[in-house]
Amino acid sequence: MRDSGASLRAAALIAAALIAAAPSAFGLFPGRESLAEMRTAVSGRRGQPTLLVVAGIGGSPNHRKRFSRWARELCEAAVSGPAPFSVQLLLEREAEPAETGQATGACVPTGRSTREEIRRQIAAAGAGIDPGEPLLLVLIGHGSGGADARFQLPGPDLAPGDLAEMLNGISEGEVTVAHLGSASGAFVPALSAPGRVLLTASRAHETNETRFAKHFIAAFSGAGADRNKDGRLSALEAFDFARRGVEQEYEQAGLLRSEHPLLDDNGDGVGSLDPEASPGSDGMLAARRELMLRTAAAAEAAAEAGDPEIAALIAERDELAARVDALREVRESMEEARYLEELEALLYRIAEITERIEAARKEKG
Amino acid sequence: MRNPRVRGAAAAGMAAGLLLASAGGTAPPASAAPVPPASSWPGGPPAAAAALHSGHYQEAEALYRQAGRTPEALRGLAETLRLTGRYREALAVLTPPDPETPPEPALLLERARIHLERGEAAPARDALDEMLAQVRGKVGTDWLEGETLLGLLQLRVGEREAGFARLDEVIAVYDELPAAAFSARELTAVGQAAARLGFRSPGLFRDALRVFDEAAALDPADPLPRLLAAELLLDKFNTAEARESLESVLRQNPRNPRALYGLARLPAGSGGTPLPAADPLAEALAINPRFPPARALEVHRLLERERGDEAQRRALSAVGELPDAPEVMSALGAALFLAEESHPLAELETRFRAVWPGDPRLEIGLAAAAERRRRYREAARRARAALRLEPGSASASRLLGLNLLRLGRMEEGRTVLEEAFSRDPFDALVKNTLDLLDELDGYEVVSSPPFEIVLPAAEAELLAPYVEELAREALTGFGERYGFVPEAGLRIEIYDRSADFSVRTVGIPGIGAHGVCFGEVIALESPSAREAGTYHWASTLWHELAHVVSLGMTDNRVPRWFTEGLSLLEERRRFGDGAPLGFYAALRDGRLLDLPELNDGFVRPSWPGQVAVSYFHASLVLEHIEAEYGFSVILEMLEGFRRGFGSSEVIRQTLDLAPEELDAAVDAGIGDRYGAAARDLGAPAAGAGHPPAAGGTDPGFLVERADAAPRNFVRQLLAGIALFRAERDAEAEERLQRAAEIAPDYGGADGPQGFLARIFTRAGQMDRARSALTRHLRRVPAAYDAWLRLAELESAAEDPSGAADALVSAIHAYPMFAEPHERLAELAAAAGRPRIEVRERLAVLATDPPDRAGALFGLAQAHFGAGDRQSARRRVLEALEIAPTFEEALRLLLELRREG
Repeated sequence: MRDSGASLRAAALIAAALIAAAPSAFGLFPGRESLAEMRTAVSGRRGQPTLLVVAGIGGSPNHRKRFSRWARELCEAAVSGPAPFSVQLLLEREAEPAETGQATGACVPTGRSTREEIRRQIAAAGAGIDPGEPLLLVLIGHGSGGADARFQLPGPDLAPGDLAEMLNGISEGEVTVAHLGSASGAFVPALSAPGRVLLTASRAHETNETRFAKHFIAAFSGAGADRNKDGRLSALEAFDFARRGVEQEYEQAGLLRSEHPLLDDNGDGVGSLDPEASPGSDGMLAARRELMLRTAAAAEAAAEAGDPEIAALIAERDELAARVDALREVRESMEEARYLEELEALLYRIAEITERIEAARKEKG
Repeated sequence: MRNPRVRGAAAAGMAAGLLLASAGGTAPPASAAPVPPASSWPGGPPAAAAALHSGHYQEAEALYRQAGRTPEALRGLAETLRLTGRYREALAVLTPPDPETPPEPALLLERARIHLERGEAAPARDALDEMLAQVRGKVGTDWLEGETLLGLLQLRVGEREAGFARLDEVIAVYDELPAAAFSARELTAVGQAAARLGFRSPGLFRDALRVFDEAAALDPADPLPRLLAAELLLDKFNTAEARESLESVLRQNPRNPRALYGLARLPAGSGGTPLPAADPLAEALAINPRFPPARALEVHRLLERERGDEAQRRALSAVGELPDAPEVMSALGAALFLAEESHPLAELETRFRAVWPGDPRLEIGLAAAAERRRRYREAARRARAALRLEPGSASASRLLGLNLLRLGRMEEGRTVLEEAFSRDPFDALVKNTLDLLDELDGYEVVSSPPFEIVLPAAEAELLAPYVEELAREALTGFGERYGFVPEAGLRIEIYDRSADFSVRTVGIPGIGAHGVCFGEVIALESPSAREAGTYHWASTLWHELAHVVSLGMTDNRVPRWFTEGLSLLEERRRFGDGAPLGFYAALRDGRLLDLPELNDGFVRPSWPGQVAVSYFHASLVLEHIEAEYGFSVILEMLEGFRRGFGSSEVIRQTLDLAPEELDAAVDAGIGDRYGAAARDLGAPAAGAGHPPAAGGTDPGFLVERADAAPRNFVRQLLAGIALFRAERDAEAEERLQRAAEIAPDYGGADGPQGFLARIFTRAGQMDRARSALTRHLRRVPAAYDAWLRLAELESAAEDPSGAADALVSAIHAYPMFAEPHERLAELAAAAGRPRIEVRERLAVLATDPPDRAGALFGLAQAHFGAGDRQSARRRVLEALEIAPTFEEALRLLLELRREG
């Protein structure tokens, strides 16, 4: 760019930009080994997942209907997969089929979304949960920020401290909390804990109605969020998918973004806007935290963990896939032709093993 | 300044002989002649000066006349008369009664000013030489003003070296002494010299502004330094600051003709400012009917409005009164050039060269006129000629560079502009354009003869195939009907930022249009520059391509109303033809322009929304001509324009009608089609948008209003929408049907058929919903969401072909979202149309979808289906690189290997 009479100032800005860009230019991207570890870590284990969906108070008929509908859509996605969740659905009003559509099967509301009912459901889920079994708590509704942050419920609202206390009662299991409402970032400091994954629709001071919820729910109902196509939806994939959706929506509407989703999973009480699967940073645990099995093959793979022949093939395939991940991360330092050659060789081997897995499955009926 | 670089040897010698006219170095009175006692001059000199500087010219004249023949009074009187255009009287006042008495330097200076304003070089020079002989070397007199005016005059008459040396001397004197040594008038003169020398040392432009500010601070009553600052800023296209400066003058003197003229030079509505209530040019001319720059601007405006005959009449009259004024000569030249009167133009050029041998203004005026009429080649040629006369001319360089770019000669244009920028980094147009060219370096160029499509790299994969396909369809169709195919290639530039597009079009941001055609270069906004549903990129491209035809067939001589009308007619034919609400309102209010004035609606709109209404109106004129006389007449008219005939002659020759008769026939047709709906809109007048409803969106209130005016379609529509939102569908349907019946051609985004479609959908009446939505989209083709809904309805009705058409239309409205591409790809796959499927899968990928691996796999499958194994393999490997355990992709990889 030319500058009419202010070229010195422009030069200073350029220098600053180069300095800011320097770390990535030197290739400081931690976590190469960890990706391979992560890939093998997510395969093969899975307990019965529990989903607790809470739709808070709407404040208007339209919002009440919207929150109820989203809660039901999330529930339906969760129960329709190859490894259905056990779902508890709490709505502002217990019965309103005309507004939320015909509630069926597992998606009949369990109760009203009062603070006491939430406490009771979390306690019940915690009591029945085994080590390694996932609990996903999703809050849909309005939140308020500031020192007196709340999630708005029929009756007394839910404060971050209230929810932290309820969740602290769960000693086993993998707890993931997704607060999809406004000012939800205000819950991060209180809820942050080792082994816990927190997703929020916005930062603490962002009090406008959020758009994150519908994209987060879409991550469960469609196949697009499973970025690596392993048949499993991880918390990081769901977060990234929803965040992307929000960004695109604002961009397309030509609006200044008033919500910035956060993810915290390293227990430091500070959410990250751009988490990544690197050791020590937010995103590492979320990348391993499986929220949902998306495909029958993935469910079968989980169920077949006890079959030594198939388990060995799956382990071999995952090991090769981890090598693809590792190779991809050193691509910049390799000659392109050699990279492609190695990549292709690995992928052919994965394809062959996958074919053998399918054949073994057929053979074993 | 105060910068040794600008001092030459002559300047140093000159400065060495300086004399301060007053001991203390402060400015003395302009003359040492005796001044009569204040009692003999009612109110004294301050009262007369106050009257002069506040625009009370009659009062000022009376006061000065009562003051007798003191030099101060004579100078004030002459200035008063000059400002009001009474040049001869002013010169008479300045003529000494006794020829033996040497005239006062101050009066000689004023005499020179009058001659310069009238364009009389020789007497101006005589006066300056005479006054300088008396005051040369004396700071605190009129010396520096005289030197500056003489230096500027020398440059215009081709004495370049002497002129520049003289201006250098003025700067050197300023550098030599403390600023406090100079009067406001002297500082103003120094500023003028610095501004003229700026192209040699650009810092001088900034110095000039600073010195003008110092002068204005020293004598706040004198408007000249602020006027000169404003003119300098205007030359640099810094309209905001120029306006500020002019307005400060006008606050003091609302009748200052030069300030009013400056205001008239500002682009109408520039910088978000409202259209002025009164025309400042007309005001300027009312005060000084002979002010040459204003007379010239009047002619240029008429030319802009394509009223050549009237422009020429006015120009000739101006030249009759001011035969040697370069501005009016230049304006006459522009009028003759556009009328293609080559002999009178050649005569004028010869005479201009004789009077003003070094002045490039005639060539610059001709280049600017050619540019405004889209005659870019001629504009570039004339700009080159201007540069030969004045090699450093910023205006000429700008004109040359910009017009070369419009001709698609990008590198050549860039080189010229780079040179211009090195001389003048403050020219906003040049700077903006060079910045844009830098940005264009990062754009992708997709070459597919005859098209060269230039677009942001991130959008190339997504947009280029559609742009190319549509452009080919348009030119093929136009070629068949018009028998015209552009000889040269066609460059299509697509900008993802509105500001960039605007800079490409007019050099500054904020143009407010979407597309432009320069003949062989088209520029338009990318759909990504606007929100979905608000801008139909495909129809804009189509519109501009139609301009390629009408400009090409007429050697760029087609009048604006005709080319815009024809382009919009072609656009409506292909994409849809809804009438804007503003058109109904304008029809009701009798604000549609008659044919001879139709161009004014495009180039000099006098009310908000007039441009959009003029487009639609012009297209109806063309539609009428085609319907009544056949398409071949359109071709005959284009030929008439090519041969240089004006609108009236062409209408007479081809239609055998007077323009008024055509106008009456068009009006009758418009009345039949839109008249009743317009008439029943009722008061108050609405330029655009719905009349405000005091009761907001309350259905009860809106129904009551609608009942009070059952034939007012807007009221029916508003009531229907409110009822629809309240889910009172039966009542809503009735209102909306009524609105649709009254104004079936209404093209607002809130058209009744769109809401009716939603009501029918809610009621499960899918066939009715489809029909309503189809009608809606015929009027509102930019309604992206509605196209998607129509595609769903078509699919539900098991009409995949209809669904595919709707999806293509959705993409023509807004291609940046993945959804229509994904759905179209699925339909193409099902229909066995692999080429389309590949295109759509590529488009999906270009939208940067969250599921990139899935999109790559879809594309790999499409390539596989199309028999392109190599691309399929490449894409499936890319998918697997992201998702190595993606089972379907792995299966495809093996299949590809087995097939070899």
